[in-house]
Amino acid sequence: MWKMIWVLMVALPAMATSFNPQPFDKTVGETEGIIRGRVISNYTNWGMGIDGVKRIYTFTEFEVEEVFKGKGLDSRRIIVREIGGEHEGVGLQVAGAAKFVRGEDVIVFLGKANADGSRDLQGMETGKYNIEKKEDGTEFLAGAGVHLDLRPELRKYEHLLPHKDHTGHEENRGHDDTFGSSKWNLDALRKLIKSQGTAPRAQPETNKKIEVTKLIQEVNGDATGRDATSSEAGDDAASTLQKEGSGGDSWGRWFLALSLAGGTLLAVVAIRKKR
Amino acid sequence: MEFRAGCLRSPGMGRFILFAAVLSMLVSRGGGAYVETKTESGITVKWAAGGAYYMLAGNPQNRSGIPEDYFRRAVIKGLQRWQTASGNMVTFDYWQGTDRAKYLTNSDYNGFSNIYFASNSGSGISSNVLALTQVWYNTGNGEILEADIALNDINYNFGTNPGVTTSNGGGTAFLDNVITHELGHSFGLSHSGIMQSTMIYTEAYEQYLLGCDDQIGMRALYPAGDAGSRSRIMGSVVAESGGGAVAGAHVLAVSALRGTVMASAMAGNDGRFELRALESGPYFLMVEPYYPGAGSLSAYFGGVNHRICSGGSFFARSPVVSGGRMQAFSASAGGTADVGTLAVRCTTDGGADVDRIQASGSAGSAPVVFDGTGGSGSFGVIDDFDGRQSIYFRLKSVSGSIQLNTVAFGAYSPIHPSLKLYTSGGAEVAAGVAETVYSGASGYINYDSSLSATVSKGDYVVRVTANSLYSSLYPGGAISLDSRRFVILTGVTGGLSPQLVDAHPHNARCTRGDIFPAYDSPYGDPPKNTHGASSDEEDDGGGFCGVISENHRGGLPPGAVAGWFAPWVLMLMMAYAAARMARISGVARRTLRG
Repeated sequence: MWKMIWVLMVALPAMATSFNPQPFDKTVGETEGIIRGRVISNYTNWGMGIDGVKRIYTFTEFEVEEVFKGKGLDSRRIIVREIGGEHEGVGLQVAGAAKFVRGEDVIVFLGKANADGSRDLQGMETGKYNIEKKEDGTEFLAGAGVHLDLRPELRKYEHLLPHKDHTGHEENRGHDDTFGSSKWNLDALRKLIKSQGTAPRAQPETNKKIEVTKLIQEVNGDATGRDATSSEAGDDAASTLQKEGSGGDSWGRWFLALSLAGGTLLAVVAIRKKR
Repeated sequence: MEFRAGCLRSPGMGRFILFAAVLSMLVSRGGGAYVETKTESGITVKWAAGGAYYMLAGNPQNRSGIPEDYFRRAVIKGLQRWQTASGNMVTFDYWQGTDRAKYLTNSDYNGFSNIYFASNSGSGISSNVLALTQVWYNTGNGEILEADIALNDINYNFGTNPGVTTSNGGGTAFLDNVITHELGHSFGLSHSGIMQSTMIYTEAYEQYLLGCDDQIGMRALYPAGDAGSRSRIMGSVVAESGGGAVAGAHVLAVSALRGTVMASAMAGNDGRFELRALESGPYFLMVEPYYPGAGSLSAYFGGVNHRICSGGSFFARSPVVSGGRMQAFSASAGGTADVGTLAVRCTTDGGADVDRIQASGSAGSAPVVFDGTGGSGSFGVIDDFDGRQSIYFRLKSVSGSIQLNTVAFGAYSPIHPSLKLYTSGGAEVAAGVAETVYSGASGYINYDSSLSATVSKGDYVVRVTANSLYSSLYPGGAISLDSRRFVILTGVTGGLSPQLVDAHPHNARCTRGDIFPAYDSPYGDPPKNTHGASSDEEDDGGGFCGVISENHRGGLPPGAVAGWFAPWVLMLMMAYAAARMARISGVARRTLRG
């Protein structure tokens, strides 16, 4: 008589266009900021990626409930930027990009602040974690980054590890799962961050006015998140594309300033020489 | 000369957008076969009908040591696989070079579709992203305008060995797997939940070879000459006991004639689904959650939530059964079968909702699953395997050829089933038995089994036994694995066979030979992509109407020459003006003195 035993493996949740998973603690250690927040609204606009590429992004406003990690996150609200969206007739999709629904209570892993005050979601879908509450009130992270939690019902096989098939018939090219990631509840996350020495500097202040709030007021015309500044920031892509094509306008401004200065200098020299 | 790519702001186009939006509310947007990319309003994203021509420029420079020639072959083969799958309704041209001015290493929306390595772009992408494809499209009609692919050779190594993939826990990916998958996105496919699909959401063995679902998907997206001979199954998915529509429910179609999962469909937000471009014949359906989650899908599916059972658990895999048998649905060639409303169920352990149809598990009590008194035919049955080593089924009054297949591994049931056929007297029938129905060069194995035999008229008993399997043997891994062991047994008697074996080879993965004609790139530099350009559109001066020059990318950007000289001309003019002023002032002084 033999027992059927099967196990779960560590690696794959890899959603996406090819995500590759890595140990959760490593992800936490490498992440600039981690917050828990509730989605208030979102909107789309053009933005410049960290790779210098201009893309359509979806900006999601969060009401911050807890800062687990990160400097400069001690604010009530924050805007998270994720690749993709539809803006004025053009759409951009990247499979594996996270989507946020208004009212969602999630934990998000964030990068450094962008020039506009927003922060990029780290690792696309693997940077977003839903919160699942057990009957005893314990809250767990659920999402692609801790994929095993996607299937809590599979934990019943945990005690069967390590795998041994009495027939020895089956090939095993994979690796056993230690179920380590299924233990990531919120307390464990806090402890992990503390052990990594990157605890938050401060908790959010409820009524603090912050830069990103201004950004929302400026950019977000209404509650639906419809972009109100398309005529400014996203505006005429023709001009933006042409600007990029000619090397960007900052260099142009410098060059013009230097030229004007040079011209003035030449003029002064000419006047003095004439005298 | 300039044109406007994806310009949607002319008055005429504005009306079109409004019309499209209204239409989208009136017309049901049931999910299509395979998992398609959709606009946020639910329009299918694909290349223009009748003009699916993908112009791709590749820059092979990389850190992984992939030779340029290998990269070129990998990209071209990937494109040829998709082209073949589409029945040549999708065509392509490919240019390759290392000049970054012509073979761009960015994903800008600029009219040029590029494939490149991240290390060559000057900056990286997310460290856990192996590769990504940016698909740019017209939101009004879903037409793809551009598709750029970035391969992350900064955080990962790309190799040329099909037996080494990231799915076995390493940091090396098989380049052909990744490229072929990304190209699928470029043609409008999203992530499939089918384990043997190239479009599965994670790198997997044999991923570079297109599966049945991928091939059906291409035929559905880009109908070819045989479209009229293909059939369609449609219906809707709701939660049990009066529940509402289940958006994003994943519907599997198991071909009775092939004994394999042939295609899938994703229910739309109204719960409706369509399995399109199927070959005619009977199918068995099973509805399952889309375990990878909404993040793997288009934003249209952003609100998908399949944790609709108590405690927030997923609904169970729900086969469509009738009287303890899998219910067969058939559509004739060119026809449509409406299967009505399918209800998904909840189970206490979250595992598949499968009844035990054979209580004792002994040969003597085996239920009759097929009666061949009326001649040839097909059947399907699904049974619970938990706590059992073997289960038995009886075939009554059959003769001639018998083909039996199991679908367990192929439906994420955690077992490796085996088949044997016995006479009613208990003697084993000589049969062709395949313990595994597919194995590939990379070492990938589909652990389902098949049996074929020719028998004299009589009653027979089928025995199914099962072994355990590591979840890591399943493409996609544990994420979609069921917690309950079950097996689907399909059978065909009397020589019935599938019709479209030329388009979809008759094997468990529909895998075809991977040899294609030689391809030569066109001369010259890669041209810009003119898809989406509408020369008759009038610009109203507003909105996003990216102006793209027709110059080859090797040339200077428009205005660059004038931009370079303008400051110098300005400077000289100022110097000249200053000198003239100085001269005038000198003349004036001399005049005053005089």
